[in-house]
Amino acid sequence: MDEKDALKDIADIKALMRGTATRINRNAGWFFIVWGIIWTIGFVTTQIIGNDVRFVWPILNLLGLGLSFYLLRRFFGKHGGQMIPGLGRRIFLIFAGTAIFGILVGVLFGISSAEDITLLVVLLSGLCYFMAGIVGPAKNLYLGLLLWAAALVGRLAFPSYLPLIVAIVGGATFLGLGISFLLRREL
Amino acid sequence: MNGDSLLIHQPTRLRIMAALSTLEEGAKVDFTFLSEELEMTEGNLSSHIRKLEEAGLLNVEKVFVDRKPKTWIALTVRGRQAFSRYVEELEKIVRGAGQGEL
Repeated sequence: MDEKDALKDIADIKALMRGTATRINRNAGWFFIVWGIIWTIGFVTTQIIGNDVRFVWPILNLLGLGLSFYLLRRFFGKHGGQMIPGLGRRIFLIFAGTAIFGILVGVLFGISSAEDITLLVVLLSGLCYFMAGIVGPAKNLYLGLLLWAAALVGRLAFPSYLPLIVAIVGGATFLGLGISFLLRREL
Repeated sequence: MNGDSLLIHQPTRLRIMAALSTLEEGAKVDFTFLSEELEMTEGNLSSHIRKLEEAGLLNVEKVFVDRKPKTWIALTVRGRQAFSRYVEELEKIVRGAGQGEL
């Protein structure tokens, strides 16, 4: 084998690995799309209707979990590409457990103002992604940190527009990630 | 090249190893997904996978899901190391340091 053949082999290997990796990750795009839409609808609604949004978030969370469960079965069950044994279930349990925890905190602590609900949802969502980054793909860690930062900056700098700010930051990030995965591109 | 590298050097097996090396450690892929990904017939893929499995580079797991057979393919630790070594050997050639070794 000469230098030219080796160079060609390396280029072929890299192209194949890049293509396979993006196609394997592609299914994750649907999860980001679902949560991006729920996130944007939820926080834009919070900004518009204010405190009455406390009745909306539990419904949106349950809808998101139901759709995530369906996607989990669809992509990582029978027809799955990449499968890390137990990972999908662990990540789903992190999200489901945190959603239930959030609903309980909201009810038991009487959280009812739009601002407090926004902070609760953003901080708990950040926690979900941070934990998902510990047990799964590390990129989720950064997503968790971004959500926490959005909550902090939005609360301190623009308290009146906090829901709108997290809707834009989180929604754009989730939808952007989802679309980039579906278009088979890596950010 | 050692025995593992010679086995991997075959173009079809090289493609299989390259595709599987993109998985995270401990992850596996569906046989059908892999055949679609590599645009290979199931028979052709199967024969190369068997050779790599016999050499201890791949792990093949056959299970039933909803009463339908399903085959999971994954790199073994040795397979991952062998592939990394193979790529390093190619890079050595490119750098000119490995001239005369192959």
